[in-house]
Amino acid sequence: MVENVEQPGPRPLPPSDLARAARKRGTLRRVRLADRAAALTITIGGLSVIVAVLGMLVFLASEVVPLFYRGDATQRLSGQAEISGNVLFGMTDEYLGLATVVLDGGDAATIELSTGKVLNRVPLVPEGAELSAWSFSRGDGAFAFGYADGRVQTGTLGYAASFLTADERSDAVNALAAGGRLAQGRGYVERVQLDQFRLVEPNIVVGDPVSIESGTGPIVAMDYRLSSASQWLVATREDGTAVFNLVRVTTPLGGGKPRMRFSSYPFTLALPDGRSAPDWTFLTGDGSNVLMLWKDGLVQRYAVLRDDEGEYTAAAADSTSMTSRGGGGPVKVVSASMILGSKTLVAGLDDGRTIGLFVARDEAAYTPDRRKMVIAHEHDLALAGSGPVVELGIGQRDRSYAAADEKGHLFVRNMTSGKVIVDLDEASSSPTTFLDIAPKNDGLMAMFADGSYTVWDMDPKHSEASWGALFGRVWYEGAAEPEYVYQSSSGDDAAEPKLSITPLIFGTLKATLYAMLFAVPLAVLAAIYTSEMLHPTVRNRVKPVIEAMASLPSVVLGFIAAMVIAPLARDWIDTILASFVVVPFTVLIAAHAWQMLPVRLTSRLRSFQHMALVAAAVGVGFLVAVPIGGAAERLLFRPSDGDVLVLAGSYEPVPDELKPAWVANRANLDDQLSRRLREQGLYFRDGRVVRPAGSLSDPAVQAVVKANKLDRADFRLWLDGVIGSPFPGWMILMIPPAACIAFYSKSRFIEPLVHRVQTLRFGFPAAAAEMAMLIVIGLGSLGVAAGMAAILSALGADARDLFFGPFNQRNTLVVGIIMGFAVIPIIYTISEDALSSVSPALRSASLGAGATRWQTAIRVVMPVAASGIFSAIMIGLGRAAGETMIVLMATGNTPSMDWSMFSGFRTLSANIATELPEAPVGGTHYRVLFLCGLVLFAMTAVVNTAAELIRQRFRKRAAGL
Amino acid sequence: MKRFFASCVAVGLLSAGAAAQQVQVDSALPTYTTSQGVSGSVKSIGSDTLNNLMTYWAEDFKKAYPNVKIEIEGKGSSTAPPALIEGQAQFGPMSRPMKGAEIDSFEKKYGYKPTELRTAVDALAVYVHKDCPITELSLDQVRKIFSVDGPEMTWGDVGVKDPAWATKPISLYGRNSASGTYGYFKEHALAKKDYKPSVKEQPGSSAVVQACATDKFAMGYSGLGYKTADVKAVKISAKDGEKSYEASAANSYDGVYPLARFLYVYINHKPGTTMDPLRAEFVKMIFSRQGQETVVKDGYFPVTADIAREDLKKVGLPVKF
Repeated sequence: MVENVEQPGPRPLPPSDLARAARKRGTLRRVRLADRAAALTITIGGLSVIVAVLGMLVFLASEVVPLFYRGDATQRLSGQAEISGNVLFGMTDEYLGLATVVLDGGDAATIELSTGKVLNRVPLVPEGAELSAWSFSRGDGAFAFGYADGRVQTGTLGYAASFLTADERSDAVNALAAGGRLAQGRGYVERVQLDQFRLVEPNIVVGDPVSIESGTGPIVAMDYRLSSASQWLVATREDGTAVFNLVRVTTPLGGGKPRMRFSSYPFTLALPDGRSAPDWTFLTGDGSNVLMLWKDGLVQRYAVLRDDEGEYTAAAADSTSMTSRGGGGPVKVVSASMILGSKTLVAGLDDGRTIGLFVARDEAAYTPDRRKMVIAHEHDLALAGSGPVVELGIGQRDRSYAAADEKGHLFVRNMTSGKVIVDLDEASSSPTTFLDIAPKNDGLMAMFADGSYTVWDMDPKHSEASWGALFGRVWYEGAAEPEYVYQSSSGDDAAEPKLSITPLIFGTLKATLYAMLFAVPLAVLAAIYTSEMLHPTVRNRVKPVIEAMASLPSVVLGFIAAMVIAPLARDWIDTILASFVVVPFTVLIAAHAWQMLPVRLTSRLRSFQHMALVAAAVGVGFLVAVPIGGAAERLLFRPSDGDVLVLAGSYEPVPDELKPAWVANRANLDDQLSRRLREQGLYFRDGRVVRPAGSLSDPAVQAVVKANKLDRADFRLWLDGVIGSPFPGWMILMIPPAACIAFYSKSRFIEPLVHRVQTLRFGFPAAAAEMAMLIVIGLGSLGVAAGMAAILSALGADARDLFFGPFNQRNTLVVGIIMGFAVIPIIYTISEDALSSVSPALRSASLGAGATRWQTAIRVVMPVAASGIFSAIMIGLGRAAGETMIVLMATGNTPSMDWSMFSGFRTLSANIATELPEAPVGGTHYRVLFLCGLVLFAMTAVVNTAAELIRQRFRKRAAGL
Repeated sequence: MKRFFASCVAVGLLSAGAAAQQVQVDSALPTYTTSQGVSGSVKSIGSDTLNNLMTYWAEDFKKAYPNVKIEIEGKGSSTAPPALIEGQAQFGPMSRPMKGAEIDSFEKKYGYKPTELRTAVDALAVYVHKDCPITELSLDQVRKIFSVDGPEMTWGDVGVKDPAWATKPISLYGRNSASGTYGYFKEHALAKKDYKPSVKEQPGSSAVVQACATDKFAMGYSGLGYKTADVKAVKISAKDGEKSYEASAANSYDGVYPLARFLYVYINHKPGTTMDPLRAEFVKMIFSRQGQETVVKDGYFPVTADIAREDLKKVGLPVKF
């Protein structure tokens, strides 16, 4: 890393040797050849390293770039179906051979897509019933019909696939080519492979109509949803009465049929003023909200609540309105549906836009369930001048939906990322009446009013991935606002993958920062100590020992961190924090005490003994840190009287006028808000704002306090924000900067003053004066820290929002320390090499001029070796950024974004390690993991390049020496 | 990586024996008899929940057929479909059913869907430290605790009055995202809501249990087969105010314990063909009395003869019981 500063110049040959040198030309040529061969090998080696690195970069990039591709669609076929009438809803089969559509007369017709023939036609609506409302949930094929006489009927639409055995196959089927299809019965047979024949047939199940007793008038809007454990049906009648039916399904795993428990809850939904029955009614996927939508864009939400007896009721919650482009004006909703997962409502407007709306948690909202609706997404039809979005189709594998206007413009977009997957212009003379995304997300079908239809093969590529979704804040379902979230996979298709890698980049930076904060001072100071203060023989033994630390596999360190250090840190956290201040100070005290010893004593000590003394000082530091840590905790993190009273349960509710307005309707406060409340002397208990009542001298209160030691100082409770003020946190954080200020002012202002006194310049008095100064500035820096902390607390800042936070056993502090240990050997070794290779002449000159060893090390040797030390730090940084196993094992891998030293994080590298085995090759998740790799690559490349540039500047400065 | 997972397996094996509960295996299941000419090697890649069980089955199988080589890898259910599709594994144990997208990619390659065998019943348990005063929770509470649907919660929020606990935040542990348990819990306990970012992801089921044993304020979820004496499985009710049920065999069979599930083994079986003897014998062994007794030994619950019959039929194996 560090080149020799002095290059021995070529020695001129004595004249008498010249003749001999001339004779030895042959050898010289051999040397020259070898030289050239070596140069060639090294060049080739170097170039191939560059090529390999670039190749890796190209490979990573080539895996990542497809993430940003648009999907594509190619027309497979088009035809004319033998049907007439408007299509209400329908679905294609998963191999795109059939489409079953339900016509407005209530008949289900199964069309063979290759010919347009109707293979099967069954009436679903019973004789004499007049269809007045319907609903269809694409994902599970559940449909429901409502009739003018107030009856409802439910059923499911689907397909059944089976493989034909040799006996079941006709000659015509046997004659099919591979991939060929042939209509058979109600469905078709496809020869999938040479010996496999798959029969696909429609499978339509319809129940008996059931009367709804309450309310009057026809059913006007309804929705029917299924989940594995429940079925929900909500039906609205003309007079606004809504009936909520719930079927709870218990599946016995010991065998036997699922048990159904049916319950019906009629309730009247208070329609908004001046409104008649809604145009659409939807249920959200978990059955907890009823959304009513009117054509003018008004959405009214009803929260379905469960009371103490287990009965369901619905309460009007909130309403919102879709607005015209630019806001304000009227809109007209022409189509509406629920996106996969039944959480997001998508509405197609007559101005060519689609709106995505869902229910989000808002603790402060004045609604019965503390939720509110948010209009999160607004997409414009991809083509300019598009007409109303008359039809919507819902994707079954991700959050994509298809939308078509009446002129035959159609597009497929992902609701969450907004990415346009497909954008087609199928100019058709008649409006679209049916639009469907194939169940496997690999096809698209549009049917027009005249019965003509077109089928496309579609490759959606990576619909969830876009620049915004990968790096930015994304508005995910159920969130009150856009945010950075990483939660890549789940057990079912309906889950929305959240792929923002920003939390992972943040985690990597956080891990690196904490590890370097711990490792750099220790490693560099250790390098200075061994190279400048220790005798070479001792140094030659110490250095290999530290280097041996590097041979510890990081998985072992991770294991130790998770199993040993983390539980220890939990119990000894006060001591650990105290030792960061106490140990360095103890060493300084010891060093100053050393100066006060008589020279004849100190000069007799051997290097080993000297080192043992330093180690002893460090040990004493740790021992002293135990009582000091405990004392500091007792002094600083003591609960106030109010805290103790509230902890002991002695409190009273606060009258509403004293309750801060921002608390609003909240039933829960997070740490930050409850601390904000406590600053006003108020507390939050059992879902309301309270204040302490009674007094601590009350024997009953005293008994509780005594029994549970509630008045005991507790650092963990302070971290959780339950007790105490912001002051002690800032005090701890301000000690290092305060110490820097104190030491600077010592050398700048105090020392010159002291040195004016002649007697304090030499010998024991000087050492004693130094010691006195050290103690003064030690206390002084505590004072400065307290002052700074007081100012910051007075400004309303709280360190618990920044570097402190609720205590987690798997935390950054532990990882920082262990990862610090992992990078110390590398930083130490290279720094030590750099320092040792500084010319001894410089050192001798400095020492000879009367400088102490410390002065020589800091002012002479360090600047010369700076480039090497800098390289060492940068290599350590690269190692820390890429470190995987320690992070994987010792943190909880929580992809959160805060700087707290007591919370976990997830790094890019740990993320790749945990998730790569589960990611299907070539999928979105797989490519996102490659993106993680590419970002990590880019981060280290930037750091290393910057480091190299800075290093060269340092070296130029040192080159003159 | 491998070494770490191996250590997890070791920890798991140690703990599994203690949790075994006495459950009777359905007497209608046949006794397994060794047949001739079985040799070769198979690999199983998939669920960590099923890792111990697969290992036990493999040991039993190797005792019967010493020439057979079996390799077991358990990093999580989501690793099973890619391995089955790429042909790296013949068995894909999963603790959740396959997702549509996973079946799609299998079908794209083979033309038929993978075959699902229900090999055991598990009650997914919510664990707390053994000293924890909580004895029962409703799924609504569990959802609020683990998912973004609720605030960060303290033990006081779930009804603990003891001042030593009431103000302490619940420290959450869960599985990594590759795990089927992670997916199942999200779907059934969290009503498909996302996990809180503060849920600490552990790479194995036993690591979750171990975390609950060492962290006094912890709560975690994991298969019942991994229960140790240092943790407690709380009773679960389906909704607030309803009766809560213990994670037991009877409650799981009946379906009243809300987090009971099947544990699956997926195989690549071409419909209408006969399976090779090696895999056929392994499947037969799983659905035999011995195989299901191994399930009990590992702390899970055996499947009934009805289910064994149905699943043997699926893969075209003779059912003579």
